[in-house]
Amino acid sequence: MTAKRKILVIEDDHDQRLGMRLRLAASGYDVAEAVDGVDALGAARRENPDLILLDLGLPGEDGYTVIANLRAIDITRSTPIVVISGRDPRTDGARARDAGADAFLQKPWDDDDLLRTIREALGVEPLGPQEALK
Amino acid sequence: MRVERALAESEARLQAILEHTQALEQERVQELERDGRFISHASHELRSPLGAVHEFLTLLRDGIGGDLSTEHERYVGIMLRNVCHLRDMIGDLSEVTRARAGKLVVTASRVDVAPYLEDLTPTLTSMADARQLRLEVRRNSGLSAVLGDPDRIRQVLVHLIENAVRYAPEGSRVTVVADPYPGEPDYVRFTVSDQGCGIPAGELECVFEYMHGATHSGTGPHGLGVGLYICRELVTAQKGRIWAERGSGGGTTVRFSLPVFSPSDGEGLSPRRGDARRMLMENDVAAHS
Repeated sequence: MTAKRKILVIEDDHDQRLGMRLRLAASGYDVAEAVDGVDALGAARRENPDLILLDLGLPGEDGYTVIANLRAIDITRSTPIVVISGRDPRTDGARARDAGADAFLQKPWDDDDLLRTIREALGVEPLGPQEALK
Repeated sequence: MRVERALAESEARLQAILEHTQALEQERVQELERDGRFISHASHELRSPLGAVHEFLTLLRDGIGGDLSTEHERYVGIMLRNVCHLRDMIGDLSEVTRARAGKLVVTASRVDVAPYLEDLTPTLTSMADARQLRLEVRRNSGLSAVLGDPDRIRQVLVHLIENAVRYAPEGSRVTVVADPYPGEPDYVRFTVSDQGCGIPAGELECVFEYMHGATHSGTGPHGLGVGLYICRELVTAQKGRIWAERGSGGGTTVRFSLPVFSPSDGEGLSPRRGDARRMLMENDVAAHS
């Protein structure tokens, strides 16, 4: 049986984090969560995620600093990072990519876009919901 | 002596007026920048809770929270449609603020028009299908490439189709055409025409003005009324022009032109000089306001 891919969601807003977790779990992914930059580094080391979803407006260190910190540790040096933010995709999206993110989606995100972006970043098809239950 | 003194006094008064005018202009620019920063911040803050609402509605729609009755599905569909409308209005608010401040970002690259329109056709068709309109897209396979921003061209075409869908009667036809601009070999012309009620002849010139849509009947309830203004700013920032005409058989025809891509444009887009993202063109607010 193929192991489920694990996604680390870094988002300070409880409701959005829960929404993402439900959607990702229903799409066959394991989900880990973090609420700020410090929490994110600990979760990254502990969970060794296959992909990271990151909000930019976090308490304490902002998302750009979090990207830099994640790129500075071995375990997430090359892990795909997809930024999900309410900010402008043209300016903040370019800045996020320059900082080391792989993709940028604007809130409110479209689930089809989110899942397609994740699949492309992982380079694999996710497990279907039925297979995920096995 | 008296003449000299009068001249000196006039000169001093003129200088004072000039300084006052410059101070007012500086104040106006600062005010625009303050407003821009606030609206950018507000848009971001509004998008976050809207993201949660949108996500939980789609979870409900997709049955992830359990089965819904047919009636509940209909209610969720109505809520989702309105959330998307709110999202689009927040987007317009941000864009119009950037346009007013001369901060619209346009990223130019070579756009091959025929395949570009072919890729875009399913999106435009689904918009027309929602109102049982027939969409016809015509493009000449031999068309020149244009120098423009593919995302921004899409934004303009989507807005024009949205307008057509809003005003054209069900079952009527909406046509999108890309052809060489007659008499202007350096431009490609895009045309979107519908069979709706049309724009009154007296308003054809001013429908692209800032706030025109918000202050004239017929457009207010559907959005912020700034869509055509944003279209004009986007087209102008890509060195093109946009205008409206009465359709020959009634309805509205909106046309816009974009410059043909030339090899010298390509020099700025080569990998050696940096990718297309480096070619940012900011609109000149002074030229358009």
